[in-house]
Amino acid sequence: MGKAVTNINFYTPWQQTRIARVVFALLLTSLTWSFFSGNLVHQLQQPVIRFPYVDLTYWVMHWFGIPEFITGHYAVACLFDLALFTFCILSLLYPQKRGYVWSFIALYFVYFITFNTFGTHHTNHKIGWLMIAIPFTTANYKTFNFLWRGLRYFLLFIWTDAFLWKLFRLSWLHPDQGLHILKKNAVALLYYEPSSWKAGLYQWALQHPAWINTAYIAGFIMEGVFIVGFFTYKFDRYLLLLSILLPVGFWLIADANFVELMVLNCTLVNFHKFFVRVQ
Amino acid sequence: MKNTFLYQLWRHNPKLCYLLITFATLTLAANVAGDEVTPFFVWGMYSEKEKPVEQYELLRTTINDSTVVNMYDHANTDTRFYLSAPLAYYKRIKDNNHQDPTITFLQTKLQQHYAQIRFLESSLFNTQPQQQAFLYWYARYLHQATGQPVNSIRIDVVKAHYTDNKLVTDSVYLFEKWEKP
Repeated sequence: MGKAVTNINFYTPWQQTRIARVVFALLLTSLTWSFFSGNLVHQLQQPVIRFPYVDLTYWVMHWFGIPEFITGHYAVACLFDLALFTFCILSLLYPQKRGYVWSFIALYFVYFITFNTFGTHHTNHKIGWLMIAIPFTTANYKTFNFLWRGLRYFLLFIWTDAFLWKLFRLSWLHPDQGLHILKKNAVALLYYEPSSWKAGLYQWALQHPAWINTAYIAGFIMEGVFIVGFFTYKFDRYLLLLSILLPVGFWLIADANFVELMVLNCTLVNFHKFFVRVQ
Repeated sequence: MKNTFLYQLWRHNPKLCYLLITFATLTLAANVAGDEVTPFFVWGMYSEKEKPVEQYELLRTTINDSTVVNMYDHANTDTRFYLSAPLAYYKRIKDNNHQDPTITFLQTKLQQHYAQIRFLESSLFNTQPQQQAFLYWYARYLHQATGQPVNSIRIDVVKAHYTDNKLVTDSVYLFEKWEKP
């Protein structure tokens, strides 16, 4: 069943099902984590301040009053969250049923917009969850493989884009860029948790700004390395390592969460090694 | 050429190929414009040149005159977002003469053309009703996050600066006070 495409073997339908189970298990874990942290729609306590900014998709959603309607009615919000969990579990159990996957994506899209607009910040870390289920919307295993590869290019684009923005804005030449980012983002942590290990790290970094500025430049170069992935699959294992290191670096240096974005790293994993059917 | 992803995809399914090319083109357009329209995202994280700052500002919330809310008590960064970002945006609105900064931004960008989208203000942005309801919402969310019934909220502005190795508080002053009716 396997067939070469641009030097990569197609995943078989059997492997596609297993990859789907991995992805939806991760999605379910994320939703469960959100539930226990009180961040599902019914737990947002009918928020009021909204932030569509100049994103026209948010404008359309607010124009129709969708985020307000769901969060404003507790019963509706509970039903929404229940449906989100239900379709995630159904997609996990029956990944070949496309209707469940489509329903989950539609619901997660609404959750994504609602969470971001009332959080008054268009977070990046949930984008991975929003995109990762898309390849499973097709019954054709070849189409799945193309979409999965397309998602790999999307991941490559994320880091390449971050590199290009820094390159063209010349922020990589800006004096003490890394230090200034740390200072801005570490204020709350240093104020509330001055005795924590992370505060200790920041206090050390404040005394050794060269290290933190070097880390910023190192991150910039690491982002640039992802360009290689557009031309070859050979180095995917190294790109996988970098795409783990970068979110960890953001978390350490800038106290910023890109960890959930790592779900897209699945597209750099060679699942042929994990899912081998015993004949 | 025949080994490229797009060629192979076009051979397999031209419609899907056009769809992905359209998605890529619109994403590039969003990046050139510098403003994202979901799902055409812009990934410019930490690319803006950071200027040296003399004094940093932090909003400190105290509930029931006794408990200072420490967002780092919550492991999930989403909870930290909800404890801090809406409050910070609420302050930006108040500091902006009670006008949503997005409205101000659009007025500056669009100038006389803004009048054509003014009718959207009440459905898209934060006008009087949202501003008046904010602290009631904040009390409800704090109740859920901390597990304590919230009878009063005091929000202080903390101004601080960095020395060589630590953050030093310069001043603390009251921003907002709320009591349960």
